[in-house]
Amino acid sequence: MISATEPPILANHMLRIRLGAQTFLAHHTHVAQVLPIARLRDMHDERGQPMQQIRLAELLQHTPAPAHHALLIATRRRTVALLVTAVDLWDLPSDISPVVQPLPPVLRHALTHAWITGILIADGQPLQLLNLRQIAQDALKQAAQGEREQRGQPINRSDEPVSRN
Amino acid sequence: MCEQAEAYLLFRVADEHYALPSASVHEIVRWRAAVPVPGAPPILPGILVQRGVVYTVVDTRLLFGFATTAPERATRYVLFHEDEHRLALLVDAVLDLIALDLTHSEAIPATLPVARARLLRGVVHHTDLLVALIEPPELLAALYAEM
Repeated sequence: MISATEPPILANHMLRIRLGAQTFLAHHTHVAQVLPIARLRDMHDERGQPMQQIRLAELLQHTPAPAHHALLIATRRRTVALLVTAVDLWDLPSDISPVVQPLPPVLRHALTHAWITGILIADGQPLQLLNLRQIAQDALKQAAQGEREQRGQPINRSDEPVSRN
Repeated sequence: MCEQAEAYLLFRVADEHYALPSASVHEIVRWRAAVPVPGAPPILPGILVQRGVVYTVVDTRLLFGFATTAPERATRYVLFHEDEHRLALLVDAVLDLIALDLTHSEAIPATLPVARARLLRGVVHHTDLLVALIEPPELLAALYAEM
């Protein structure tokens, strides 16, 4: 949570990410590499497995959107490719305040994931700042959980003790 | 306006009439598409920026226990401030700014669904309408309780 005593987040050196018609921002430091989607075909992650690919629009908006670029995000366990419609390094116009506002309190309370960390206003429109590292970590967990469910294995949640016989 | 009267904004949600203290209301704006926030519940369909301020949109139909509907010509946002909260209440129509004499307010009808009763101060008769009075703190509390 961002408090009044913490320094404001500035939108310098941000990536501008488009998912269909909606535009988001993200810290460029969260992204290890940006690639055209075709380059992923022969790429493998640290485990030698095909790169885990996640369509960001389907994860965030539950709607499909064209995907032309991959953002490679390095998590603690493995690298994930988040697929997006378009991405560029945003040259913030001088008439736009670079200060990212914290999320409104009611939204902070309501959101199920810490995927949005703030809002920047540009041309009267709110641009949401994505936490790509958190999104990648959560997407990996969801994918692993889905795989376990497909195999019919029980799901061990981190807050539940693991029984060993 | 008589001495006991207070200014309220009268609006409609579904076929019911509600009033909110005008002191809490910052502005009324026509409907426009809100920017959706990933992971937000349907009751918070998005955010809006108005005069440089970010407002969280609240679908009052869902908050009051009605089914949501597509926006129409009369649909408005009531931009509303309560403490540090900046909310845009999505309502079916804004009708008038009225003076209500609260000494004549009545208890909330026992038949009213809990979803609505919990955020009301009482009801008053205004012309031929039965108007439910919204208390801003209770509205916020009801919103948090929904999530």
